[in-house]
Amino acid sequence: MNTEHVSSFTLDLLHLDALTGDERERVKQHLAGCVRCRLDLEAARSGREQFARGPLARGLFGLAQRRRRRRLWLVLSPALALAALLLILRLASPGQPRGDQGPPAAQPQEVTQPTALDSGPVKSLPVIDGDACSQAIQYTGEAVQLGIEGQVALRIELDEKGGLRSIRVLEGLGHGLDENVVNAFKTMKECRFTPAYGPDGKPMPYAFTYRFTFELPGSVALSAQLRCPASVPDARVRAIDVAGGVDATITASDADGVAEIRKRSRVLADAVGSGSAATMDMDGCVAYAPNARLTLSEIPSGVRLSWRTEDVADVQKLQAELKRRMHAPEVIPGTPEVRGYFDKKVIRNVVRRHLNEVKSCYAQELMKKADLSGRVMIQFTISGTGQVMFSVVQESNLNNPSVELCIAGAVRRWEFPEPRGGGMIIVSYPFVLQATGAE
Amino acid sequence: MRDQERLAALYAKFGPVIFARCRRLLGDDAAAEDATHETFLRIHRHLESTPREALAWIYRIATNLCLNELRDRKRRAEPRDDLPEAIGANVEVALADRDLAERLIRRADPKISAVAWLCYVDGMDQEEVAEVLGLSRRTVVNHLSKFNRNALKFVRRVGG
Repeated sequence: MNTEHVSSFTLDLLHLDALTGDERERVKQHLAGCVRCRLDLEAARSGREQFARGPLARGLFGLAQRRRRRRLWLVLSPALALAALLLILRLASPGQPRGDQGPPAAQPQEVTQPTALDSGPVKSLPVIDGDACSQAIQYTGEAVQLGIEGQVALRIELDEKGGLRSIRVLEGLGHGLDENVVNAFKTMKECRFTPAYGPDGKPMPYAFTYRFTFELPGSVALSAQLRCPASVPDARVRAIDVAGGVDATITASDADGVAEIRKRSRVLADAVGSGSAATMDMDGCVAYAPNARLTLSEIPSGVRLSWRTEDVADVQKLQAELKRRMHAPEVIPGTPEVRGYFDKKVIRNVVRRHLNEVKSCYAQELMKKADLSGRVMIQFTISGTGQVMFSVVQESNLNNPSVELCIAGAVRRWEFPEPRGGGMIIVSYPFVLQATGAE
Repeated sequence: MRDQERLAALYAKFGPVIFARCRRLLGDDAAAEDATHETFLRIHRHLESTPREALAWIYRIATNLCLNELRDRKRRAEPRDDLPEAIGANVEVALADRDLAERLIRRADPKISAVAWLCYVDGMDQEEVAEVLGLSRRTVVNHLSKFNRNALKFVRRVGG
């Protein structure tokens, strides 16, 4: 054995339980004190686990069928890609121009058909009516409020009649969304699949991975338009309850900031129109009251947004929403420290894309403890395939283990581009968590 | 039928290990699946020996297979331009940087690269390498020193 580290050969022997008692003790002792070897051990373990998820796991039958299936897959994948594209286009096309769009309906969008050819060669795959099914699946209020978007990955097994034999959440979004999807597939007739047909033309049982996408319509476009706290770092948002509605002012201390706020507010006002639903967006989230009117006026150091409505329920809703929004979670990613050959920009892009997950971890606890804030440094390791193998809390002054572990757990699921030239990358990434409006 | 069961048991035991090995070498699930398939078919007869011997076979065949595959790949990630400067006279120290080692190994002669990979990337000692590849310890030492000389030359040429 190498005097310094444990070789991958020895680690595999450990896994196969083929070391003598002495050797095993020595390896275990070394592992306890050596991060590098623990990383190797973890890499080997995740490799073996990946085997179980891949097509090889079906055993020798899978092996025998493999070559053929691959060819079938080659034929089918362009067709599936086209079908998915058409579906996306179809879903996207009915979107009205933003000007007269009503309140964003909390409607999930579904963009996938089964794509994993997992149960051997088939003549046709199970099919689902995506439109009907996504109508049947609802967002939860909590998820809407937190602005949760993303995919729920499900493992679905069908019997030869297309009936649901089993369903399991592989990756979830939480906030009740996973349960909603599972329930819909279990109970709603809109979410029934047709059976798969085998090469002989007879229906057959089939297992596959299915991804269901939750998206808040409008939120993406609008959130890009008025992100005062993010785009103008020193912007202040203040909101006041007034009779019949809410007034909010957004101000900045310098001329550039004021100009930016005004520009973005005008874009927002144009986008939601006046006289339709009032939509406000202060931190990437959208709040709306169906019958409120929005007016925009310029004040010396920024803008005033006023919402007015005759509907008492709407007023209350708007005011409550605003109060909550004033304490919206804000996560500021810091500058990563990277060991290995990897462009920091690439890492930052992936982190930004997933920032909502970090925010959601923070938001959950922020509801319980309003003054929660701090800095959490996550250390994670990107493997040669771009997957995160390890993710731990390196340091934190937040004093809240559930937020810290939640963030570390979220990072564990992120996927990065493959590092050029392979090799492992160790990243330390700081996140500053604070509540907007908190001063 | 008994044969089938026996094979299935071997596959269940060693399949994941082979796959993890190939995935580590190739960094790509689909290619690793192919290599796993290939490796298993080639060595299933040898898998019934002791686990240690079986694992040595896996390392021998899978490593050779995957390194060949890497060499054949035209579109493999290019080494980044910033090779460490001054690698110094001590190649062994430099090759402790496994990223650099992997990149150099991809350029080496097939016979030599397997030795170098097992030694520098997998961290095996010379005896283990000899055992796995079915070579004499002497040959392993020779291959390694040849690899070191070439690596040094290469790095000097590129980095110098």
